[in-house]
Amino acid sequence: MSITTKLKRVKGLGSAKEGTNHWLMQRVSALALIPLIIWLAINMISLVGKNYVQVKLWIQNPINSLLLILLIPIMFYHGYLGLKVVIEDYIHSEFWKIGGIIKTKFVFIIFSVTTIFAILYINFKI
Amino acid sequence: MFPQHMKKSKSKDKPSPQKKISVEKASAGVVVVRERPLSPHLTVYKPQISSVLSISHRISGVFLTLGALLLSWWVISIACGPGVFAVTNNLLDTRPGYFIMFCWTLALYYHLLNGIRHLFWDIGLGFDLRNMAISGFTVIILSISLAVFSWYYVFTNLEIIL
Repeated sequence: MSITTKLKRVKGLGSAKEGTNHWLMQRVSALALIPLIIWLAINMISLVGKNYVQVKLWIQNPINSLLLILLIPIMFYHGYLGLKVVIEDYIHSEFWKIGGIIKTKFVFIIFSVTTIFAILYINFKI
Repeated sequence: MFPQHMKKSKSKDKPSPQKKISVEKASAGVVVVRERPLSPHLTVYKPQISSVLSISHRISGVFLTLGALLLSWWVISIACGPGVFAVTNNLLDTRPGYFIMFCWTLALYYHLLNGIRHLFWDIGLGFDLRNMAISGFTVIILSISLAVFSWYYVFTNLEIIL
């Protein structure tokens, strides 16, 4: 029997010990991705069939570089939050569940950091 | 410890639901212990617009994370130089490449539009059955037509670029 009040129990963080943080962050990142992904889709369509020099010039445009650097980590963060739930729902073995979540996190962090580095490299390579 | 019929329900060869019903009819009074369905209950329900769109949102999301990795690789390959970029480009400039890119476009538009639908639900709008069905069909039609239009645009303008 708990001695905490009902209000305190409601205000607590629940069984996952993270409260509504995951849910909220998924929505916030989704909101941020709406304009970014529309921008990306329009630009990707215009880039089909372009050669190396044209694509490189597109990335070297400061606005495109900046928006890509904004988009990449938010996109991977949103993807990580989504995949985490999918893994938690369908993988019942604790070992593979935690392993899968950690692997996803590592791969996504490596890819987003490398991509941001690549964008900076394309822009500032002497 | 357990009665015979309860032990039986744990055996591996589970009878199909139809068989179970016939067993129940044949011997009334015998308690048939069904194994409790575990979530997600995908197999016990008839597909409906709400459930089909919900699982499609998940599938498209998982599929899009692969697309995100490809987008990343595409940017990295530009930094690696013309040689690596040519390899990436040649892989995508094939029939399977265009097919998978079309699927990614469709998944992207679908996930984007259905995601906006979810965000509206989160602020309490359009969550009644009627509006849910209307917005659901709108999302399906819009995402397919946007994907087709995008690639129609690409293929009609490709001749000018090449």
